[in-house]
Amino acid sequence: MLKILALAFSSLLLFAGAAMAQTHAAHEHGVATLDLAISGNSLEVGLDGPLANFISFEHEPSTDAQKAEVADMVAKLAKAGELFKAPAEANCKVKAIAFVSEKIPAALFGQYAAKGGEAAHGHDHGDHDHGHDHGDHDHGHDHGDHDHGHGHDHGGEAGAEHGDIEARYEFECADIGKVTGLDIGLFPVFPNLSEIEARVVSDKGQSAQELTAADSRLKW
Amino acid sequence: MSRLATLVGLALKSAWNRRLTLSLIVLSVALSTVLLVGLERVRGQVRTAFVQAISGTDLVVGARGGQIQLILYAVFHLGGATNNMGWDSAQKIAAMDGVAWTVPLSMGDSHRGYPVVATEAGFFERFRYRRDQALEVAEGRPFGDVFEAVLGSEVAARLGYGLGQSIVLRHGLGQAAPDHADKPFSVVGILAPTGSPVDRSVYINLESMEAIHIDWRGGAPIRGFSVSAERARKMNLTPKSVTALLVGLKNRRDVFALQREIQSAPGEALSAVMPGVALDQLWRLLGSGERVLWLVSILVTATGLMGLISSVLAGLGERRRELAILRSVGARPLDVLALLSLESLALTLAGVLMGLTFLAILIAVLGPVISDAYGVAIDLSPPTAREWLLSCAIIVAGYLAGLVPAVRAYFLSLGDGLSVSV
Repeated sequence: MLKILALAFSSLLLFAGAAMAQTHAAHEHGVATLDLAISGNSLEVGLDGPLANFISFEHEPSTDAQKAEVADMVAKLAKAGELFKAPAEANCKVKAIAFVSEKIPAALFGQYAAKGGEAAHGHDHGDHDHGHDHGDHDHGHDHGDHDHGHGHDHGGEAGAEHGDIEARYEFECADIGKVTGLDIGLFPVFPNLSEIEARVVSDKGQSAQELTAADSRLKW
Repeated sequence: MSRLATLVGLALKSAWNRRLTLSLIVLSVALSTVLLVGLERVRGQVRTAFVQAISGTDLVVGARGGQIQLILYAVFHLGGATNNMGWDSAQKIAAMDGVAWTVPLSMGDSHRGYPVVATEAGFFERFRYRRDQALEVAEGRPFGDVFEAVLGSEVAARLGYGLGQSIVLRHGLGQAAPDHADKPFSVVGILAPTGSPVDRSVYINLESMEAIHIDWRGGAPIRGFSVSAERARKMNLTPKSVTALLVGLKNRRDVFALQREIQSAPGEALSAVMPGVALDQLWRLLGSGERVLWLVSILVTATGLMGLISSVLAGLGERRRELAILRSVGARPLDVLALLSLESLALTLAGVLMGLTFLAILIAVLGPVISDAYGVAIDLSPPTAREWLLSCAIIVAGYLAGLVPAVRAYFLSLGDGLSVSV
């Protein structure tokens, strides 16, 4: 059965696979990736996606209006408890929040700026720069037909006007066993965000889920 | 005897009179149940077998390419890799911080249609399927030396091989490909059934893979140059490349960081795939076919219930006189309504119970066959919550469907006197 299924669909899959292969780093407006790792009593969330999901531009803010927009985004993204709602009885507390974007000066992130361009990591593999592979990634910018409207009104330099943001959150939960899912509250706050590709790693194993405004509960 | 008991007694006798029609109704409900609940069972088990074809492995690494291809050949051993990854890259990954273990896999050969996977002895310890289930050697032992092979359970059963059997591997996956007749393998172990792609594979060690290709170049034996099995044994059999690398981490949560690190590392371009994530995504792609099946079985169930309504309705014409007599012996119109709706409830209940029994028998009889043929284990286990829910839904739908003729009978019996003009 598996063999038949897999063979029958493999052409479709190989085709779709190209789109899926680089989900993590592809720059597709409207889509963000969410990586969640659970171990011990800590819960780490990494949210990564085009700036256009959160603000109206993808370049370094220059005007006061643009800076205000960034400040607004920072304030919204900092409400970790509302963006990632865990069951109350698990008693989860936000321990760390850090933002990093190659287009936005760290000063604008204020207290949430990642130290040394590095998002907060609670593990040993933090010695490589998470920011660096956004600038020089060699895969094409993956714009679907639907988003040809924006990002292209910057004249001749449109190609250069892509920027991503990465937000890292760390929660500590008194009773992590009670957390078997998170209600993701990002969609109402950021209307430009339409889809989240979530990946979860826990002691139970790995899983993947696609979240939308209509189905925004991440389960594992 | 109370009035109700008399009524029920009469209703039973009436039912016995119509036993042929009624048993056909029960049968049609039973078949709907078999289909609906059976499909749910198969769907659940196929998904489990699929998504849990590999567990305990945090990353699968291969040459840069499609994520799905990598999973298809590294986990399901389907198709071939377009590119191999260098042995030095594999060793670099094994030495990375945070990596607990690696198991290399090398593929490309086959034996009578079954893929041959070259790996290290560590595979038998590290590989996990389902929920952290380890492989078990049912007979013999894992391979130790060159030219020793361990068979998946299906390979051994289908080909009728036992320990000590000598087998010849074929180069490539096609039937017409040249074989490695000069270097036969001997079967030293047979694995217990797993319901995973492992059952359909032949395992040898990496050195053996190297040895059988030592006098080959570009997919064919080198003309006028052959190395005997005995001489090959003594040569340097370190592989130059492998197809994929299974990677286990010390700390599972490091997987995201390590995936990036491997994919962006200088040197050979590699893909690192999280198997659990990729399998979930794959299953989601297959999901549309699943929904069509689901729709079809719901339609079939609806058809079965329509049959119930129509045959009870059709029978109503014949039963008008019977119902009128019931009324004459003291049954109220509401009693008639209750009797008829209870009858359909009993019919669906019997149908569902019969269906579940059929299904259990079917699974008991066909389960091993399906497991053998497709590697999907369909266990005989108590119904899951979802299956109970489905069964209850059928019963409720059957009861509601039965209300249609019952209500009609109610109104008929209100109007009809004893002298029914049928």
